[in-house]
Amino acid sequence: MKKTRRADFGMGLGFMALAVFVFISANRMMQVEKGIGPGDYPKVVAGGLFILGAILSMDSFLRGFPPLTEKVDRKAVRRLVVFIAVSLVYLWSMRFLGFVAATPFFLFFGIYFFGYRKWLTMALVSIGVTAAIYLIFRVLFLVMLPVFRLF
Amino acid sequence: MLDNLFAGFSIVFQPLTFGLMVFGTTLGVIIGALPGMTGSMGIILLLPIVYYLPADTAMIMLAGLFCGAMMGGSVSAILLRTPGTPSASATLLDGYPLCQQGKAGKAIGIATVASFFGGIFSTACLILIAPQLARVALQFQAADFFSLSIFGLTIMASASAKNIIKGLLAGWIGLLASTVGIDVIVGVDRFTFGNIYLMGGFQLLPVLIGVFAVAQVFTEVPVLKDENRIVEQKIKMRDVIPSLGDLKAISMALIVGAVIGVFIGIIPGTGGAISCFLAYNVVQKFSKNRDQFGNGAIEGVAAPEASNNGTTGGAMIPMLTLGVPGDAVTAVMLGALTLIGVKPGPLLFIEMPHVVYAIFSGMITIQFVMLILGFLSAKFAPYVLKVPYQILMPVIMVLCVVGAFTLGNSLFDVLVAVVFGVIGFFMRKYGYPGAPLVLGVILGPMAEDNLNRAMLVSGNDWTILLQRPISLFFLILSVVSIVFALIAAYKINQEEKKAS
Repeated sequence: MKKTRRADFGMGLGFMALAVFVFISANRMMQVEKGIGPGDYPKVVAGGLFILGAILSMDSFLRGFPPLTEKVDRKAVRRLVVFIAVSLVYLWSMRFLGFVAATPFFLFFGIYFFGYRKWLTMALVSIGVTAAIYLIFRVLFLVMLPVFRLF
Repeated sequence: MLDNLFAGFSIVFQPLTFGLMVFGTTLGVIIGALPGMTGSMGIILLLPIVYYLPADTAMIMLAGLFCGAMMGGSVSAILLRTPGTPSASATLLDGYPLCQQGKAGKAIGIATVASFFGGIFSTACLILIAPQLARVALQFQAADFFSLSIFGLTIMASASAKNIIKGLLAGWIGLLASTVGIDVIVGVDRFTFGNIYLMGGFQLLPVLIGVFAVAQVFTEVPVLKDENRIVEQKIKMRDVIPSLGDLKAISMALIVGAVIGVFIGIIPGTGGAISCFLAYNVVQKFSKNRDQFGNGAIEGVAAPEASNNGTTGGAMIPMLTLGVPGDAVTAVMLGALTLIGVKPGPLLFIEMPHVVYAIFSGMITIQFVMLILGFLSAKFAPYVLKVPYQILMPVIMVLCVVGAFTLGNSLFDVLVAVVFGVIGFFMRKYGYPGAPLVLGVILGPMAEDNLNRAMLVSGNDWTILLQRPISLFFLILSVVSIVFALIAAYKINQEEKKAS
């Protein structure tokens, strides 16, 4: 793909750097006399990763980079970062609030975030889906879910 | 074999198993019909339930979802001109024109019958071929299994992307991820950086959830979607069931599609997305009505649908007998099997024949359930397709959180799912396929363990990988698959150059 060549070049270098790090780390691991030691297999994998990363970088470099015409869609990036951050806050809050208390807020926000604007439906879906998941997983299948725990 | 099949049917028709099979197939049809949601994601959403079920019941439910999703993809292809799954991409070529002509019911009916035929044919092949292949696979030794895992990875990488290097890189990252944690051979800490949660390594379930489901939600985030626009028309049930004349007209398309589907399905790394176009092209070439293709030919709906459902049984053959999945969905199924303590491979046929034959019998029954659901879907699918994405995506995210948490009642696993979701998002954005990464995580420990055993047996003689005929065969196949993929990629590049 022409438009990803610049990124491919950088990623190829990144994979090579990762491979070098893995190889050096694996080289420090203990050796065994028979069979393969804990570092041998990662070293083989790192070798493959290095070669593949080098091919990716070389290939994209030799083909040449297209001119930078497309601008980064900052709004899309911001939306993604915000959603990931909110998902992480949701995970963190479940440690204290538990599944039942944290999930309706996350669902309400998520539905709003994705562009839905019927408030009553949003509230009903947020509470209803949380209750349904709790009933199906916790009550019916006895699956553990995070519980409310302030201290 | 017949005794075993009847024993399998006795399991299938137990109330819990039968109920969950119908549930799985129904959910599969719904998920398949929703564009952007795939069979792999459906299976992932069911994983928390799978833990608490007997292995045979769980597998029948997942097989129902697999087949249902394959069929369900055609519904949105016909009604929305958007394939619900990549496997239904060829169905829209003639399905949507039929819909525009006011024959949506007929198109869904033909797609349903074709899916049924493809499913039954591929199940028959599964029942006949799998036990024989398992018998052959019993001869495999450690070196052979190592080479087999390399073959599985290379062929999936080479078939799953335009850029084979990116496919291989995804697989290699999966192999690397599988090395994290305490080494099983000597017990040494590897790449954990002192984090106790990483000592057990990356568990398969959070990785699966992250790469396939969370990444899908993240992909939808930057784009605000309008609600799906369906061609509104009243569908009567009597229009849905194909007439004898229609069945006669599509008979050749059904046979050709099913045969191609099974053949493509058996080859690891391929799947319905490839077979549907292949079947469509072959049937079009030999059809008397080839001029009608693209304008609403019923054979143009039947061939890809028989073909993509033909891949279902085919894809399960290498998964059950060799432990190498045929496509992305069976890769997730393989993960599900591992989670419930079933180890796919030749020994499965000896140690757990009841599970194997319950799957076979279940696959037969599923096709009949799918036939009924397919006809009914013509009536109810338009309502399902109206569910707003804005509601669906956050709900899927919550289900992903629940699924990842149930593995070890740990929020760390959920965090792993989110991290792999971010990785999966960028992989999609830059053209790296997700399936080889997951396969790398699955096959990594198998490769390492068998390489170690091969080295122990041979006294660290690496040439054992070339001395064993089976091992050599798989290594040659690996090289051949890469060479073929490179040639294909070169041709695509040349064509792109010419075009520009």
